[in-house]
Amino acid sequence: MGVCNHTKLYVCALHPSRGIFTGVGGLAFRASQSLQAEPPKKKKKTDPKQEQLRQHRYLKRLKKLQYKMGKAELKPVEEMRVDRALLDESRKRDLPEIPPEEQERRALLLKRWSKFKFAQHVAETRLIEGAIKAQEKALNELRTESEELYQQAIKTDNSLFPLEGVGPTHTPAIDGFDKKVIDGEYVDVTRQYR
Amino acid sequence: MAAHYRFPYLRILALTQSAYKMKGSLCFKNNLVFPKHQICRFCSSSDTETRPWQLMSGVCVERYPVISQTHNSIEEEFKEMCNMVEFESSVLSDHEIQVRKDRDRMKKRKEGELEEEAGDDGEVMTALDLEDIALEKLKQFQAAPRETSADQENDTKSINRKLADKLVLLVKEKIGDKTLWILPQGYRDTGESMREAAERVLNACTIENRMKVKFVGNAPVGVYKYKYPEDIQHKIGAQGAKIFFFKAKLMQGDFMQRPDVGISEYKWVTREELDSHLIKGYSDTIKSFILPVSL
Repeated sequence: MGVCNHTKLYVCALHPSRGIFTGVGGLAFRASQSLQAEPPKKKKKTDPKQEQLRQHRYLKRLKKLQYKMGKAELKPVEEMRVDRALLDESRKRDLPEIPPEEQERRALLLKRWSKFKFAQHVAETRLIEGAIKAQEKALNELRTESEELYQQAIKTDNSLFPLEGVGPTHTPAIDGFDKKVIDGEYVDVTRQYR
Repeated sequence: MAAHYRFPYLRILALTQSAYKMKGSLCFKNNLVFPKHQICRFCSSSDTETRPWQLMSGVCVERYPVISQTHNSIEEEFKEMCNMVEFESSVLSDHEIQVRKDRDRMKKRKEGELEEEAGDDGEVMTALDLEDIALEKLKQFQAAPRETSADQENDTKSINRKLADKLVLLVKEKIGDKTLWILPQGYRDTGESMREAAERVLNACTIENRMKVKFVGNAPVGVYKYKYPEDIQHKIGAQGAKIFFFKAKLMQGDFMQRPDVGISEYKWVTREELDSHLIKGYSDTIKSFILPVSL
């Protein structure tokens, strides 16, 4: 049981975290929760006509703005939904059923694939961890040599980003290929919405 | 070796002595034993205090792969299966629908059911004709070969060799009395940061503006320490050198060797070929921060 100095009330041990006094104190004074709240604000009496007028003016202003901007063009909501034309029965392929041996082969291949991919992931993680360790070791060595050099080394390099790179393609670039002579003109038909 | 010792730690001492057969591998001071491969402040000779280490910056210039790796057998199998599954779960495309229609029309015309429409003189382009034209055009296009002439000649100086792999620049330099293959390295001047030293080292090796690289960050990626032999230690006054490596990505151009620098030769090698060129400890250090392209 603790004593709250300025109020000289006992703070009940049953509610140590809330510090709410709900028991009978020395003064037989009960403090309820509502006493801790602020008294509610007085409501201003508004003239309903005035209120209506105000609303009316506001809506008129908005409509004027809308009129100035022009009619809204409805953007299509592109959902993950198949195009209606493709659901037609005439589009279905007529293929024979997959034999059970083929199904078996596919299931086993999937298992082998997941094993292969997991092994690849583990190996990659190990390599990356090794690289991180090597860098940490280098930084520790640098620190033992000179604190100043270490501080310079751990500064962020602002010239690094934005970093651009061209990814690997299936075949290398053709020597002497003129990029300006592109065979295949096209017209960009992407719809632009406001 | 199963001698009796009053104190068990002395027995362990004797065992370590026999285990470490390397010359000068242990140093004794105040009845304590330290293996010498650890930095040992107590193992200095009596006339000099601990000598400092010289700092050097090394540069690892990498030419990233230009083409994609070839698939191994399981990847090929899986790719084929994925294609089959995709085909089976697909519907007919517009082109296939048109082919079907054309085929039916041809059949009807042969059987005489379809009348010759006005203006339809049988020269209409069918969908299959369009397909054939497209395939012809594709055949005319010659892509560059994946295996270049550099691959066939095994020209290790060329940057066009092994396009599917990452290439690393190695130079041959004289270190002490031996010529070794190493990554380009140089001592750090006073007032330089380690990265600035690395940039200077690289610029010193190559002719200006022939090679464009992008250094990756201010922090070194690895460190290699080597101790000088005793006579060199006395001469230079340093215990050895610590080489801090920095990574750089080759953006453009090729390495053009400067004739006046102490480099006798250079090579662009893949990660697998590193072992055959470098000494073991150095090679292990470098391989930890040069990640392979495929595992």
